[in-house]
Amino acid sequence: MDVELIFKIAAVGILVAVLNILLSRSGRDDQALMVTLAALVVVLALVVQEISSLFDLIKHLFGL
Amino acid sequence: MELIFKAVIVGVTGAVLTVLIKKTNPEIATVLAFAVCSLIAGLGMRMLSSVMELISLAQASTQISSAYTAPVIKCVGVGICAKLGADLCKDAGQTAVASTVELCGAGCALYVSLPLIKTLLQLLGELT
Repeated sequence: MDVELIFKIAAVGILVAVLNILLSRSGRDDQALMVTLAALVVVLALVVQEISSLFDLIKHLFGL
Repeated sequence: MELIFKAVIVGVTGAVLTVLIKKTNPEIATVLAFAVCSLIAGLGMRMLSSVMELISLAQASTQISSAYTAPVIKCVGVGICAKLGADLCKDAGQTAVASTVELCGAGCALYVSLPLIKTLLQLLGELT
């Protein structure tokens, strides 16, 4: 599962980049910002699970 | 042994993708860097668990009480966590936050090794 996570986040990043250019070109800059915020929330939700599983592993491994 | 190849491949592709995204939206690039870091650290940690088994085996055979080895292992864990967190903050451009994370890591390591220091002082007290 893990390598797909990186490609998923990269795909979201590229999609948001294209959308931003499209929206800003057509003059709707506020919606471009909304798209960026939404994408950031989605990406953070994906990454938070990965980081918490890492810290659980560290806690279990080192007996913290 | 293929773990090192997987780590290198994941690291390099993650770095390239981070550079790709950094130009247009740097915040997603930073989060991507966090994801790649935690992935590779997870790979490394799983490999480290076999080392931990060896340490506990050695400790059982030499009858060293775990009061001495446990703080050392905890200090290693705290150090790894603090270093990872501080470098992630530095990547995101926040060097002040990174130094406070390192300070907190040092405090936690010291706190973990307090019992060890106490036993050491008692030992010294008995000697003199």
